[in-house]
Amino acid sequence: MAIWRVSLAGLFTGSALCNGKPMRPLLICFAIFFSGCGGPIDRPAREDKTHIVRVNDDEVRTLDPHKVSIVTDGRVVGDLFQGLIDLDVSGRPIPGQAQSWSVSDDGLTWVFILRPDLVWSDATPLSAEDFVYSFRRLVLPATAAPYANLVNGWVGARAILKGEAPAERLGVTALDSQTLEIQLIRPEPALLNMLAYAALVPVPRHVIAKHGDAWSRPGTLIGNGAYTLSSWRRQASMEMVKNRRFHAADSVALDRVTYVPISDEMAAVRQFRAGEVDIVPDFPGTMAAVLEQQLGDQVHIGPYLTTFYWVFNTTKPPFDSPAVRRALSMSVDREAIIKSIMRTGNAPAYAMVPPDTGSYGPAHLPDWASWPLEARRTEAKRLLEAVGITPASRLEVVHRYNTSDTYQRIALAIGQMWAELGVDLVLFNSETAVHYAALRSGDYVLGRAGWAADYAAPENFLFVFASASKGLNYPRYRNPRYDELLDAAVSESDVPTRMALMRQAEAILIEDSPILPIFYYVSKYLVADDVTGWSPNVLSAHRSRWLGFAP
Amino acid sequence: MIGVLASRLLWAIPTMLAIITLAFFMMRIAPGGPFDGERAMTAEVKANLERAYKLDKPVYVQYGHYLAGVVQGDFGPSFQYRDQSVSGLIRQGLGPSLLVGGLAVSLAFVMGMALGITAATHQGGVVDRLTMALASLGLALPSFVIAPLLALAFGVGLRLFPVAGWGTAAHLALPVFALSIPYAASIARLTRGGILATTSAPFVRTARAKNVSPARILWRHILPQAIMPVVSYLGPSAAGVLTGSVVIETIFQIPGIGRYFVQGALNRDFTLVMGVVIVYAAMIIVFNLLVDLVLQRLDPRTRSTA
Repeated sequence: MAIWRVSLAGLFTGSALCNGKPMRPLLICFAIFFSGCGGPIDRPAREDKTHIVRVNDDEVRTLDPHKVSIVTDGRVVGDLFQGLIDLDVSGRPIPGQAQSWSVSDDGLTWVFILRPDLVWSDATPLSAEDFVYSFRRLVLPATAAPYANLVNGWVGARAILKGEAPAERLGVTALDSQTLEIQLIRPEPALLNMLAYAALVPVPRHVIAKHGDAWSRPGTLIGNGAYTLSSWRRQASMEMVKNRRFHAADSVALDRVTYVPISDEMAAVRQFRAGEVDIVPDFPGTMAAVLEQQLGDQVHIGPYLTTFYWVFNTTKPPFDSPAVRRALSMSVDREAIIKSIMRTGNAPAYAMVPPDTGSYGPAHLPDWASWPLEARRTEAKRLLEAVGITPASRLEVVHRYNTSDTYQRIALAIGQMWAELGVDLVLFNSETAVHYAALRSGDYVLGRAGWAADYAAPENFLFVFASASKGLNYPRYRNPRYDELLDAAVSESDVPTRMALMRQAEAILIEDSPILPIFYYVSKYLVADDVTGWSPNVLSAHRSRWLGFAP
Repeated sequence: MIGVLASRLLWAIPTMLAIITLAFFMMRIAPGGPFDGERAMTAEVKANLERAYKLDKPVYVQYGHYLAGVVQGDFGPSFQYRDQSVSGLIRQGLGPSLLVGGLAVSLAFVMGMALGITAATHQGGVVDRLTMALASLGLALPSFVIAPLLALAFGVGLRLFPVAGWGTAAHLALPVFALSIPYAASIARLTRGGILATTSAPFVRTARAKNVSPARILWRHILPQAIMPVVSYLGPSAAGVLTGSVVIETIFQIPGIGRYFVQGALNRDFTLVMGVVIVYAAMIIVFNLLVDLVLQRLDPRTRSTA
């Protein structure tokens, strides 16, 4: 076992270049398998300082912003299109196509003033009407936009999405060619963050009218972002060139951006080391230490607004009892999991909303989170014994997870932590589609899940467990008090009051423990040391318009 | 000859129909659908998506719809790549898969034959044992081990070839070599076995008795006979190599269709998987036919009956 580990580590870290000098192939093969040297790697720098090569973690599935459903697509859409609001280098909202905005006192009406003389990349003028058209297209049932529910808080959106009202009922109006009004049914202090999201950028109605659904293919795609698509060879590379008609084209440093889709993280790391790519958006956490040794400060690990948790099916015994759920949550040693399995310094999670989500502040902590582990286990034992679960009686629980080594190891660790409480964890893995179909249909008792923020706002995490969240609320959690508090919170325009109400709601959620939060994810990047304009941020949003190379 | 060809091609139609039907219903029986992903969707959004892809219709209606499309050459829209048609995706991906696969099969054939002949002509000696050990190694080492090793050694280490990617001839070197290794190993073993089995055949003894030169015996008399198992093996395996290898395509980033098969199946991209199944099945049918024709040419015994 130990030897296999060593050789595997060698295989992946492969110090084929021990001291910068090439070795003979046979020697390299041996060195790879039995490598003990992990010194710094001399990575060739890019000669063409106007062209960056970025890795995308998978093949882009669509360039139609309304059909985007994964981060992979959002990443390139953010370069090809720009919404009313954009994100700066740190992921904070800044003026995009809108130059200014105002909001009514009740927080329900927003007016955006567009920049003057905006054009699409084909020089067609871009007006407020284009935004009206785009937002209507987003909620039309025929578009079947995966992110249509983002605008559920806009006047008319839900009825249109259900096919009960025409798209014209959407609360979006062009007051004139440069002024856009958005009407909400409840205050949305995070509207600006939301408007920077890929699904809320404008789409070119003049191109869609001509080409229909095929408009977003190379050759016909027209955008309004800092870059335009020049070619796209599926599964090989996507080439973009600077959009000279972009309103801030003068501040865009790079002339060309290439995205290469690499779903194999190790392959991406190899290409980074060979100097073939400049930015890699993920790498295996188990390699973090070795990579830091080899690549130094080109390795970036930072917080990311995503929570890893397990869900209890609250409709099935024994997890219909909040005490049992809380006891099991209490007894999990999150620090140990982070230290020995994740190894990327994740923050432990005791609640759903990650720290620093919008204006939420620090993460919620139940009182027991600060107790010593022994005290937590004693309390857990007491709670379990009260319902007849003892080390002697043994309770068998099947844990469902989507196939992954990491998830399996986490489950094994937790199984061990629970064994002394009288709970035997049985592992059951399946592929992603089967796993989520089971969670969705309630065919599980304990399952693995995760939730990533679409935009930085606590409601984006908390609405998942509202009684009305059909299809998302895997634990089938129902607590009228939670629903009420959440409703009150999202109807509140005063931000401190709103956040206080959300915190109260989350306290109830964690007290009831339909979920077992384990840790918050981190973003893991490799960024070449001559790349400028890159800064880690919680949304993991890195627009190419900010990037450049040090001379 | 033409009669054989026509009847075989005619038989291909019910075969394809059976394959399409089986694959279609097996995909639908599997739990989980194309919209059960890591990213959960609200019920309304999911309903709209299902309607857009006609998944709200009964399965037999979907099947009829799909068959009607296939007959007209339309494999439907991809569930996963939302603005692409499956036909379009396959059209784009088939070229690279065929190029890498074709080169790999050719290389495997040349390497395998060379190794096999060398081993057979040195039967029992050190060269034979070494060659066969090499072939066993080539068969035993899976491509997900060989491919990253090649990339590390020749890409990151020696910087002779690009680590991965697509576009120039240099990009082909490592994937083609990695892909050819297990096939070359099989061919080497089959060739060696074939030659050794044929060496003792009566017609070879006759040739020897007539004082034909050993080289001529090998090339003119033994090889056409000995190569038959290789040809039988090459048919179906060529179909497999040409439609792309998911491991090689992923590691070396080849824009082929091999990845679509696995990714499509995992993501329940029904139409994409069906499209690849159809291409794969068609290739197997064609290659098996080719193999039979070549075997007929090689074996004098089958010629008169054909």
